[in-house]
Amino acid sequence: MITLNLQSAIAAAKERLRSALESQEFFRAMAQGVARLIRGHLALLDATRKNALGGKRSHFYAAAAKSLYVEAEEGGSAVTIPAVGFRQRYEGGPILPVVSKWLTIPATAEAYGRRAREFDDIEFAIIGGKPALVRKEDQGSVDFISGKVIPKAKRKKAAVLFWLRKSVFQQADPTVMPSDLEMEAAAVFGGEAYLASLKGAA
Amino acid sequence: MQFLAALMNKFAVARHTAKKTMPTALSTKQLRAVDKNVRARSFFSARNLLTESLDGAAQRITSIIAPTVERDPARVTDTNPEGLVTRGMDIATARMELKQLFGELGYEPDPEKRGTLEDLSSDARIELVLKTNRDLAFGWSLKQQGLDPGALEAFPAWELYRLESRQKERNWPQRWVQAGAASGSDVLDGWIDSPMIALKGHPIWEQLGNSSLFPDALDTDYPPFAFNSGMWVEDVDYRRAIGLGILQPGARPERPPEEDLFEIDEEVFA
Repeated sequence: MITLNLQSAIAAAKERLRSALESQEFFRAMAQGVARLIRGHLALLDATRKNALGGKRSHFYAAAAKSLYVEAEEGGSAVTIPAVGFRQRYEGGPILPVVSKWLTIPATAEAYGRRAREFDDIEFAIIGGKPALVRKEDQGSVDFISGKVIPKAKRKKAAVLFWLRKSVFQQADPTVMPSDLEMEAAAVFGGEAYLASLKGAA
Repeated sequence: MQFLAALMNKFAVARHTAKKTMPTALSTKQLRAVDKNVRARSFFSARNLLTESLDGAAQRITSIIAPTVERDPARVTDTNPEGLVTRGMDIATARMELKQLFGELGYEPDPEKRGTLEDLSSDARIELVLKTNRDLAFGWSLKQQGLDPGALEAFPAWELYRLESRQKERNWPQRWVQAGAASGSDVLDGWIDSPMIALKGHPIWEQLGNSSLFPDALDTDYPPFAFNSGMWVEDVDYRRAIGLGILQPGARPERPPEEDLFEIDEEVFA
């Protein structure tokens, strides 16, 4: 029989682990795990949340995923998504016009992802009591060819491209980000992956 | 969750702002003959000699990739008690402003090419310039982040995947196999064909972006690899890389040679 004292081996292992756990690389691996989770989450949103109007896709969430940047240091890590509008979706709140007096809310697929100033054939109109930008088209009451008055019921309806609003309030949508619990798990996953690489474990 | 005021994607900004404007009469095909390191350091668009339009596009891309965070009392809510708001350019606004700029510069496209990619002022062309340069900046940043000590060891491989849908999707699995063959290595020699996974330092990435293999490629070893590809990469962890057989148990991932193309000026970010 032989009995070994493991104290020094365990102390050395403990020191090795402590050193790894406090290393810059370990923090970086944990942050990378979180970044990977968020990118995957945003990729899923991009695939499943298409704009309701059906216009040309802007791939907002995919662009957010691409923009993701992570920094990690001992004692502090941060991930940033430098995409205009992302904070707004997450936190919600009022949206106010910055450049002009009105916000332009797309009403059709054609208007989605475009600015009102890109259209040179639209004009202001009140539709159903609400201000809007409509396509300039023959709204007249007289038929050009016959010269006859067109009955009201048969006149073309204005094609609304944008609704105009002084402000809108967007509800917060925390689901645009993974939950804190998921991020914690992703950080653990990243840290474990780093430790696995240190010991060369399969 | 705690939001910090502002953290810039400094790799992306460094990649983009290091570029010098290069007006050129060359076509996309002719530009491929220009050294790829020169192209990587230049901001250009095929057959665009209008320096002001190139400068205008470059400035707007900077605003897209590096928005700022400001405080606005009118935006204070329970969920945003500091009233923090992100200010910067988006693609739609940048496109509109550049279209106006082309008008101010007196640019007139060939009437037969109006609205096509050969019309510098068309929506399609402007968007292509904006999105390609934005994505190249973010793609380079992703690569640098993925090679950071710690990130590389924990996640030694990337998986190529479709991030953005396209109406007509190019055959990327086929390209992947072609790129693998061109890299001079067999399947399982650091890469596998399905799913499309390879070690981060593997030459397959360079081949995937090689314009002599694929005419629409951007001559980069990071996404988006080709014009309007919709493709991106995601990290693959150490255990999975070993399980797939592209990394031997006990092996440490090799770090590719460092590039010094886009040095980061720390003062810019101070």
